[in-house]
Amino acid sequence: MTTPQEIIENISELPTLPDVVAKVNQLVNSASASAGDINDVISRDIALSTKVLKMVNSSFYGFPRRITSITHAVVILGFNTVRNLTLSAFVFKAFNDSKRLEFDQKQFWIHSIAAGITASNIAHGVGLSQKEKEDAFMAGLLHDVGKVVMCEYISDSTKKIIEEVKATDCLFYEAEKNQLDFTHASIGATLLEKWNLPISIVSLINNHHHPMSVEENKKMCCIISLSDILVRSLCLGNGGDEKIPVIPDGLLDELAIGWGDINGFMDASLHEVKKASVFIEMLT
Amino acid sequence: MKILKVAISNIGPGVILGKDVLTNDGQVLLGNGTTVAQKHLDILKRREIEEIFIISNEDDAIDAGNDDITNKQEEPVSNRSRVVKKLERVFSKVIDNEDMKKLFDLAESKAEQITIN
Ligand SMILES: [Fe+2]
Ligand SMILES: [Fe+2]
Repeated sequence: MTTPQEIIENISELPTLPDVVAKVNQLVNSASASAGDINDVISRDIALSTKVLKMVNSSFYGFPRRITSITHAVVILGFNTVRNLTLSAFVFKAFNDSKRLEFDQKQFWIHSIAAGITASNIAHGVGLSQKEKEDAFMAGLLHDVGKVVMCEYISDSTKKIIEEVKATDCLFYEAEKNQLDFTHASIGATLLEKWNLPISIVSLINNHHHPMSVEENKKMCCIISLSDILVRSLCLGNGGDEKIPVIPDGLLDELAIGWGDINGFMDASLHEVKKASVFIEMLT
Repeated sequence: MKILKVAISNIGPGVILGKDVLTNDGQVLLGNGTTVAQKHLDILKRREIEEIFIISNEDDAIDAGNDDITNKQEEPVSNRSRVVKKLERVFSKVIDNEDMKKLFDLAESKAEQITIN
């Protein structure tokens, strides 16, 4: 039996979290760091600085005046957002050249970004904190990252899974459960754990297909699960199958939301995903 | 030579496509001129494509009683109907679930704003 840990450990050429991203992550997690400290780290990496500034100045954030320094970006956006930007830039780059991807790469990232945006909006809508809103974005963005790892490093099994998905028109997750001892959720979580992402985010990735069975962080987990479902209903990108899972029983009650709220989240997603094209541009 | 619209159930391997067969999202699945083999028929069935256009000679025996569309301009398929078709496919296994039916109705009401690639 192979465990996700064994798979992740056995991948020697797995992208490692670059020092600069790890440092930013560390600084954000420490209580004493200043915007200047983060500037010092990011500014040393010119490609990364450029990307962060490009994202900050994109229509996605819509600031009226051009932001030209990382320190300024950090002050305006907050530590968490800059950490998220840094990570997004890295994740896209790390898997950009993935040639073995069994599904359309662009559609896959649109699915991911749309889930991030939707999760962030739901977190805001149900009254969670700014930090939780940012975690929701990150977790939404990365929720299916395990699928990319699978295509890249256990491509034979993944090919079979995709074949089953196509032949029986089922969910990726269902085919995966038939064929493997683990899922893209646990693979993704293991990878992110290795990258030292906060455990609060790692556990969301791990549980995004069964949010109602978790004890801790249940609300956030429900948010990620619902985001995945909503973006499928809006045909925003494609996460590797053509189907939609049912909304788990009790999920809407857990979040204390109704259909009016869902309608609003859907409209916001349709609107904002169009604006987020800068994230997609980073793929190229 | 005529182009006939025929039901998949009425043809066997060997017929020649008179038009591209498109997927729900508008990509060419099988090109015009393809000689249809059994594997193609399997794919079409799996994708729930029910009708295709084939080339037929005047004296050809194939006549499924379908309309001759040689000189007719085909109605352009609207984005809305493409989206609704895609949604129906995405929701096909869960539409009996009350919540999912509500979600489907919401998504369908936004079909104009939805784009499929
Ligand atoms: Fe997933
Ligand atoms: Fe997903």
